[in-house]
Amino acid sequence: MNHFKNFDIDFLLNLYGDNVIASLTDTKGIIKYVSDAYVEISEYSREELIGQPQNIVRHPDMPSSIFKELWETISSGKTWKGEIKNLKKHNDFYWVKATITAQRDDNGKIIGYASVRQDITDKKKAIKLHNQIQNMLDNIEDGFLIFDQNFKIMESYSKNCLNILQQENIYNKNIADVLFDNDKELKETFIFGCEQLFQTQCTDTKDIYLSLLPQKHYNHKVQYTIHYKILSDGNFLILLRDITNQTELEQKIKHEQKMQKMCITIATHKEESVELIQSFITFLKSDFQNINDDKLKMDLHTFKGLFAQLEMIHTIEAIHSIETLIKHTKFTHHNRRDLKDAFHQDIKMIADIFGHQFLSPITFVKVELEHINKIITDMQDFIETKSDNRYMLGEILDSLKHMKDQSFYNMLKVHQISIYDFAKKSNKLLYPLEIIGAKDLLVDEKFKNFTKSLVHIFSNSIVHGIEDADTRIKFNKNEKGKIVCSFDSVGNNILLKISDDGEGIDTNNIIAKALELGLVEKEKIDTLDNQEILQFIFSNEFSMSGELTELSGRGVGLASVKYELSRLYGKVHIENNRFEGLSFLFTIPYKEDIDNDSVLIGNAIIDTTRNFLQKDLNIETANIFSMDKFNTKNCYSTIQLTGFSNVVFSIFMDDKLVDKTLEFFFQGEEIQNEDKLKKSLSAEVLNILVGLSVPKFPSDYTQLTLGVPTVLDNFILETFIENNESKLIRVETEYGNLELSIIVLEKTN
Amino acid sequence: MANILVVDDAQIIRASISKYMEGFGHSIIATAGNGEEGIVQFKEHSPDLVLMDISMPEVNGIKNGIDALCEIMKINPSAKVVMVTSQGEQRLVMEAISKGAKGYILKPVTKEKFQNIIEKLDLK
Repeated sequence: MNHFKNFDIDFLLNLYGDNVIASLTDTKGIIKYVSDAYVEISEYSREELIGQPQNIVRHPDMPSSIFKELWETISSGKTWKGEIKNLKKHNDFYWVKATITAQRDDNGKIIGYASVRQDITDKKKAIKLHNQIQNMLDNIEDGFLIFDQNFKIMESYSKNCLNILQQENIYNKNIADVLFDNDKELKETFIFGCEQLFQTQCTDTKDIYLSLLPQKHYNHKVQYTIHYKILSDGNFLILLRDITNQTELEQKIKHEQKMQKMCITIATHKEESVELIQSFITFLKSDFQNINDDKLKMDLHTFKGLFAQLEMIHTIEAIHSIETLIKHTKFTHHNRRDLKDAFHQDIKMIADIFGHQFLSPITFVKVELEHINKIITDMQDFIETKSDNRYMLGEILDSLKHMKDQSFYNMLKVHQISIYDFAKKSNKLLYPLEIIGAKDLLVDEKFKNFTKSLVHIFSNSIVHGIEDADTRIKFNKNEKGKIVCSFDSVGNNILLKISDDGEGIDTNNIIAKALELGLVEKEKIDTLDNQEILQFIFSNEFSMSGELTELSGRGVGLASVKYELSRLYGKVHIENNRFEGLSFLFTIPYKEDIDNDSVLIGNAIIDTTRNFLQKDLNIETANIFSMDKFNTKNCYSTIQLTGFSNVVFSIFMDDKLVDKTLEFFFQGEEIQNEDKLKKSLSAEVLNILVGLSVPKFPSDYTQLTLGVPTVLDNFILETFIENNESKLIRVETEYGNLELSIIVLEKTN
Repeated sequence: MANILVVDDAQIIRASISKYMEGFGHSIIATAGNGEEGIVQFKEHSPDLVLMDISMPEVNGIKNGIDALCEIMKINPSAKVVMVTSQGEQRLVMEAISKGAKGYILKPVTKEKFQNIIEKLDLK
């Protein structure tokens, strides 16, 4: 200190005394000196302080242990440093950071203590306030955080951010990474939006950008909403809200509601439900080996539509995902188990509520008393005559079989629910399905597969035909669409008409799609009439909608209708009125001859033919249906089965199909005498088809001998067909057509 | 009353937008089924408002509604263009806004959404 002059020291002391809270005490802590700053902050006068013990300013909040430690330190000659809360004269307080040190005489003996203090009250208050706010934020469920224009998260964020974002620490991390780590697209959108926000000054534009920033996200564990706010300093405040539980709860409630709906639907449509469930159980037992089989795909799709009617949610979802897997050829047998599990989950639910008995197959039918009386009379006649008349027994058997017949009306009625449902799911307004027809028209059980498949006609009408309400109003239509289903029996046929008042079909779209799928060659388009073009919608993989939805769009729907129709030997005609509606007119034989021998034999032949074409020749069979007339221009090979009954079969194959078949027979080996072979080939094919089908014929026909294939004069064949029970079948393939006839000649009684 | 140009590749959307706007007393001066046609119609009619679908099939190098928007902004920098958009197209909308679009409407289009836009743009 020697280099300071006296006035310098006085000057410094004054300056120091004004700004530093300083005091001197004796060894007992009695105040000897206080600076001006001390006087000011303590609110005492200097006179009130001098001679008083230092603890006059001691605040009751300070624990005595601190002072004990302080005295031990300084009395041993060391310096003590620490923060102390002091009491002012008028009960207020102030915080100081103090340094206290011993004062010694020339001999080094402690003669008192000097202390300097720095006022840290503001800092202490700020820290306290900060802690309070932080505490408050940490105790709010939502997460708050702030990030700057470099996308860096600032230090003060609420604790819940870490839980919501599933992070250990987010300070200084990039907000985009933290919010949308697993979603590149959202991240880009977010960054782009924020950058625009930083740049723009216009508040309206800012609002638009804010509304476009991602509002929702979920990481592997938490689902959260994100709200944004621009702060006055240009930084962004983000509010995160965990909605996982809320979403789960909403989903749970939705699920429960769906389950209830399922049970109600099933209870009110018990008969159909039980039957559907039983047939699905059979389906599940079937072989899934050939998952690319069109029939299997169609069946799956039909089941999906039907289960949708019953609201069997787990099953529908499982079928939907299997269809998607098949589409991407990712189906494995593991998925089949998933389907079973999902189905059993629904079944268990139903059984839990209605009991296990509820789902047992229905084994009773309603029978008209009149029918039973007829059979009794017939049986009595049979016994009385004691004849060995197999024909009469056959008739009685027929009557018995017909007792299983069911009301066609009821078969269609099932769709009333589905229509309502489809409409709701595709946001269309629709009147309830109107069914017009006799309730007592009874048809064979076999019709059920067909009437079930009609679900695709209805879903197509609703999804693609009926316009949404706005469009309908625009075109001066009633805002609600209407689908009418009417039927009547005419002769041996049922005529069924299903019409909607939607927008019909744009045939140009059909042509474009048919060309795209290679269903027809470009040059041939002009030769097709309107009906032929419309019929393309029944082709496999044909779908007018690009999207796959749970309702429609698999492209197999209408094809399965056509398939089931062909099994009943029915025909369909389409009436298309652009912008006014679409009608399907079905003609289906339903009386007696549906069960006659030619039909049964025909079914067996069709099954064999389909297998032969698909599995052996690897040819897609597009359509199989019955013909009214024989094409006499074609040259037919024939074969005859002789024995108890005589059956004549004939076949015709298009050239391309013959070539394809030859390829199969020779497997790439060189073919000699090709022309000759081609002539006899169709006879060879017929031989194979009939040979393979015989075991599936009605029992009367299985003991027959197969004749040698011959080429029969077409005129004779035609005469046979006209005068005998016969069935004509056409199979359309990608390589042209194959025509078959089955003629059952007089039984040799 | 404002003169409006509607550009959308879906006929149904064009029809319903037209219906709503006419309901508000505005007149649909023209409609277009793609961006290129939209630009041509804009040049011809100078509409007070353009409602533009954001994603439309590419025609003559006009990739989508944003390209069409840019062309329109070149022709008239103070043009009022509102984008019509679907969920999931937020990024595209942001781009459109940065290129000068005045707002956007999220499909499905409703009367209320149009009312908001009309009020915001102060169309008389």
